[in-house]
Amino acid sequence: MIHSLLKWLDHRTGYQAVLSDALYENIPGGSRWRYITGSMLVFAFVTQAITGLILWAAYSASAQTAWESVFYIQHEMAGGWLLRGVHHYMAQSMIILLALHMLQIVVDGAYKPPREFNFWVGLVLMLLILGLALTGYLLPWDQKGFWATNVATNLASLTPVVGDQIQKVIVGGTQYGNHTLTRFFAVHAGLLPALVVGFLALHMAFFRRHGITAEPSPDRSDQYFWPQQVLKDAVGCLVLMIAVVGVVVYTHGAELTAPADASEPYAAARPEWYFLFLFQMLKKFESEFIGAIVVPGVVMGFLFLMPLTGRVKIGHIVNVTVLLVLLGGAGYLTVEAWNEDHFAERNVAPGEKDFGGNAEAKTAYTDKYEASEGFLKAQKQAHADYERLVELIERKGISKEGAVALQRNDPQTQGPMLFTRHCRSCHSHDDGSGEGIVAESDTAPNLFGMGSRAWLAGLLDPQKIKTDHYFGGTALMETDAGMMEFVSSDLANLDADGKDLLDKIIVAVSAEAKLPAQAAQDATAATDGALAAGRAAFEESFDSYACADCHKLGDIGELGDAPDLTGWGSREWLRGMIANPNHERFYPENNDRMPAFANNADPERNQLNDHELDMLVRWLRGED
Amino acid sequence: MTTTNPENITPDQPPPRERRNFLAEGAAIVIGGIVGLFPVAVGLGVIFDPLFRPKKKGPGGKVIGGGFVRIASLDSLPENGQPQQFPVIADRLDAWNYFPDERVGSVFLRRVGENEVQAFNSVCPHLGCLVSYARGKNYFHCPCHNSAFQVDGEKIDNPDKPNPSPRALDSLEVDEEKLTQTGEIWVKFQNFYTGKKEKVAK
Repeated sequence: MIHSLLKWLDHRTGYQAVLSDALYENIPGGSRWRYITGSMLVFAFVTQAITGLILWAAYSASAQTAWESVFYIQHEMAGGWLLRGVHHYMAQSMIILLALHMLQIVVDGAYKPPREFNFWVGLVLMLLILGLALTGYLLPWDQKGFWATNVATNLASLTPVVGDQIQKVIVGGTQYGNHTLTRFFAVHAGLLPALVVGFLALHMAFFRRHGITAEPSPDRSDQYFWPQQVLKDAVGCLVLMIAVVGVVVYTHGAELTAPADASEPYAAARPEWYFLFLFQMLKKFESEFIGAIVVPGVVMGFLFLMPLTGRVKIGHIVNVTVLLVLLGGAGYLTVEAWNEDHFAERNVAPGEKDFGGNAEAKTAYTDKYEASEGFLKAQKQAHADYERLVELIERKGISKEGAVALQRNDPQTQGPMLFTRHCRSCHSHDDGSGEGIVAESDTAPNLFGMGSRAWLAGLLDPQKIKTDHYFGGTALMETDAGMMEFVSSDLANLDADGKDLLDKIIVAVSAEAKLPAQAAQDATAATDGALAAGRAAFEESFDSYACADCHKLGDIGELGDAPDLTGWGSREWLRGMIANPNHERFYPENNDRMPAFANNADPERNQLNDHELDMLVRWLRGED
Repeated sequence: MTTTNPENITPDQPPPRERRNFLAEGAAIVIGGIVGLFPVAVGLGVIFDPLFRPKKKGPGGKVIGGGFVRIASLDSLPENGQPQQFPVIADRLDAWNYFPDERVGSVFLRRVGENEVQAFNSVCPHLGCLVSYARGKNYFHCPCHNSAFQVDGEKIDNPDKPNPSPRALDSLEVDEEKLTQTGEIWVKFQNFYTGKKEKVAK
């Protein structure tokens, strides 16, 4: 029954001849494990085509949706992380397989006449696959892909004569944007795969025409492709599949960093590992033109000429040697690049190392260490930014402006950057954990926890006020008057009553800040009378002065020589202070050197705009 | 050329097809099948993802859709019971995007008593076009395939003009308590599968 059905089918389609032609291809010397790389590459490519098509069905190529749709695939869609991970790591495996395949072909002499054309087609396929890898890296539109690809397209502009035009055509303009994505996507998902399919067909047709190149061996009999070689190929594919899935599960899928942002540098931007050797090589040449265009051009030229030079024995030996050197060199450069980036992880800090007085060695070591430290820090920051973004998306959702808007309106993300940019030259924001921001020179108070009871208690401590943590680095140190004098004399030897008085004042003044972290304590103080007691204490003298003699606090006291403590540390107070510390509420006479960051009537001329001020203040106050 | 094994054939002549190695063939088919199915298998979750997420959750776990939505105040409906169309403004989740207060559909409202309002989803139960209200003729009409409904939502059965709709316009629940207390019309906005005799919420 089945037999007659198949016969009927064969009569109409002739499938049996095709199948038998495919399966009963003779392999001289029989099946061998070394022949499996070609089939594995086909398997990998088919996997890429199918997983790519499915990813396509969930991907949206625009600057406001690319990252967002990939994020959705990664975190929301059923098995999306697995699918994306397989696509990501299978691509990487293809690069390794390409190297192995080429090595086998060249070592076995399968590139020699009459197989020149097949070798050339293979080289074209290799370039196409590398092109797929390069274009795919950008599509998630995250910081990593954005900046790494940016370097690649900038290199394209080094092409003689028409470099700028080439770059414009690739990028879709002079700047990365919607058209960069649509173009890269069309190339990645349309043009290149179609070319691969075409050249792959040619590659296989040429292969079938000339067959396998095998060393004749007396103790190995011929075999058909089916079933022994098919089995070996299938096992190779199975191992590859298991390895890729293993890596995906181990790494929880492909990495996604924060969304691309042309205004935010990303010091950890590196090409994917298989292009690292090019990146590393580029660093070795004075001229990018040589590193990025001449050297790769010469290498490709050499590879293309190999079938011709391989005709003679000495040529073949040179070819094998050069190929091994090239692969080894690429491997070496890759390891070197990785080692440079991770240097600080594996070596001691320059301060702990003994250079035996060799200043040059010390400088070189320090440079290396710091470069690596910068990379590792940026990488860590990128992960932290991403985690934060995941949290924000969970809480607020992604608006149509895209996920970047969430980051730009997030005090936890913007605050440290703004602080580093504008405040860090004088102020620290350091909780002592080693993760905080440390001032270039501590000439102004450490603002970590500013507004809190603990911070205020430190300020009012005679031992601490003169340290760099508070006013130690300020001009106030030079005048032993005012607050400095008050704290170091009046508050120096407090009795129990005095301490009690001070504690009450701290509670009341700190409550002005309305810090979110202190909300519960402030609420208790408001109901149990501590707040009222503190405000009363504000007017009571210690040895010589009361707070209210110099400071205003709400309706207590008058605006005088010292800052108005009404709303001290609150959002409004901080905004005012940063906008213009010379205002009569703050330091009209004795502002040390703090600039007015937002005091111009024309907001465009201010150092900080309204939004930045808001982000900075919220972050300082620990608001979410 | 001879080989050490007398049973073997010379390398020039491949082994005949009859000498089958069933173990190798079976293994090749099984393993080949596994790797062949793999690319599609890893994508099944994503392909059928819509089937796995029946309840939409917005930011912070907020449930999207299915709740009562404020449409209008009772004052904005004419006393004579003529239907009036209103947009429905609600939170919308569109894959990765979250849109608070978006237009998500439209309803017809109609006053049927002192404190009583009828609400219909504007979607035609036939194949999902939006019906419109023909003011002069006082009935609902679907421009796509001539479904027609009375102002109370019931199907108009006219022997001359076949009505393809499988059911009456989909009525929506109105929060009566809110209506009597505040004079505001809150409707439980839902969409329903079209083309079925029964009203099945999406």
